[in-house]
Amino acid sequence: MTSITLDGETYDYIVDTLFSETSDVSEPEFINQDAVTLDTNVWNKGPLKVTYVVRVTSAQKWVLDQLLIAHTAINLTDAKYSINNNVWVSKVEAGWNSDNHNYPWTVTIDLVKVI
Amino acid sequence: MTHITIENSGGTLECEALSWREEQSCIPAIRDVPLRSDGAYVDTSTFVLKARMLDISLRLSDSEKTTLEAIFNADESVTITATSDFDGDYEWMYTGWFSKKPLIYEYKKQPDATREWRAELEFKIQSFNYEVPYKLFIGLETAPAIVIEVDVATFTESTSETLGVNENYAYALAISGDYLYVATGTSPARIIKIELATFTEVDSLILGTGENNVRALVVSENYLYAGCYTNPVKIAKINLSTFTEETVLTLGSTVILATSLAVSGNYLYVGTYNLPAKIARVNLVTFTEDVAPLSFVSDRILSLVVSGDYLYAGTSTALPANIIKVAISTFTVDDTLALGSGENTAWCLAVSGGYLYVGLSTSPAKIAKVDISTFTEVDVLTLAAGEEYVIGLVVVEGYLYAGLYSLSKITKIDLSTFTKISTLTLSGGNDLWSITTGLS
Repeated sequence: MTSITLDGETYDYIVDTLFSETSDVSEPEFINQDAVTLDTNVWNKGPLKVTYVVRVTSAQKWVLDQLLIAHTAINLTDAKYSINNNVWVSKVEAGWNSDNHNYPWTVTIDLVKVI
Repeated sequence: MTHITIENSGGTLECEALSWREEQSCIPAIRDVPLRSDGAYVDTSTFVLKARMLDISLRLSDSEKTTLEAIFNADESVTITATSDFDGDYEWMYTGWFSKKPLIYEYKKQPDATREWRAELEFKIQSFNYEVPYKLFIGLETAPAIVIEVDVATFTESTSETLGVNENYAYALAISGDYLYVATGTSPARIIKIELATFTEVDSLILGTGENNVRALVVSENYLYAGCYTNPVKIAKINLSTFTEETVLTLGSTVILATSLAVSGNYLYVGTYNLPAKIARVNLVTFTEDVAPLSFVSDRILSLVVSGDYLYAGTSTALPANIIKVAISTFTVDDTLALGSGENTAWCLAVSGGYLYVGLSTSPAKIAKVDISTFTEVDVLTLAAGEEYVIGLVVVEGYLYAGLYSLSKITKIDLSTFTKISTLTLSGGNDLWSITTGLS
């Protein structure tokens, strides 16, 4: 079983983990351009985004909701992927399911790594 | 969600949900910075918090559809109340705006033939809340024992149960499923089973001869383990499905007077009082003491708690009290923390939000706060005169509840500020000995 810790609270039932990161490079454009030349000296990267899908209790859902509303950076620890960073909770999506008596909520939580 | 009520001045609609989905975002400013290996700069001082969106699917009859339309046409805020009978009858309450109501007539009726309308509702939520159904359960050192239920939401005593004849001294409590288990300080000890829904005793189990005076209970998988305050310690293993004692383990001859139990993985840890005190380890798969216990010349072990990869033990005898940190992987002492002057007798421990809280059996009572990451004491809270001897700590929804032995009091502490909110004195004026929490 894998687990994560968000703001000191541990979530054990991780259903899915998604890492997303972008890197863009300058692509000069002009009329009648007949060849592609990327300017690899000019680039920028987006922040690391981590999405967890987690089964939680009602009490845990409430805590996650409050983390989003609190609009402050919090600590994320994920031992499986060696993450110990401050993150911003950018989105919380919750659905109630009848297939798990103890953990009825499936919550998708989007986190942005803050440096 | 199993029961939903949607209402405003247009009417009240009570129904069941086919599906329930909600989302909310809080987007920070992300500033592009060229050539920054760490990625774009996330400016957490600039953000937009969007309204929570709530989508509910329903099936409605003709009359329910009419009510729903009246609610929509009232052109005012709606209140949505939803309960789940799954994980403790939580009641969620939302206030917001009814923004969309597509209604679809389906002549191919679903099994519920009276509800031919399917509705996909969308609400923009302004505020939401939920009621916490947690209760505190308190065991008293009386003959017969009394167990009290305290409602967390109102912080008032809600009900109590006086146990049967010879079911004396409620020295340990544990919750599993829909039942509260109470261990008695009798010879032999008894385990009393209380149904939480009705808060009445439904069964009682007398342990074997010599299995006396249970001071600690812990649940792991489908078993209840009871630690006896005996020489040497005995651990009774109770099958909760059948509510029968399956077996008993007698620990080594130097492991005397169990005060505390904790479980991590497949191991049960037992703390003892008699000097030199021990922390013994029991393999729950083989139900044997599979390694020599840790020994402490001058630290009586009063309390145990597991956090992450470590077992923490609260002690007495040494002044002030020590907190012993044991690495679970190697079963060796990793560190020892001496608390501040006057912080004696670490009777109980609780963990929340990266901190270890230590209940001190002092007069007046004190609670020490230890940062687990640095293993240093960062604060101590001294309660008022007359609030004496912390004997149990539980954490519920951001609050720490400290059970006080003298005159049965419970003190509520806000963990965000580590300050006392209020103290509740239980009826009867008897001595409190055990406290736990759970959903009723």
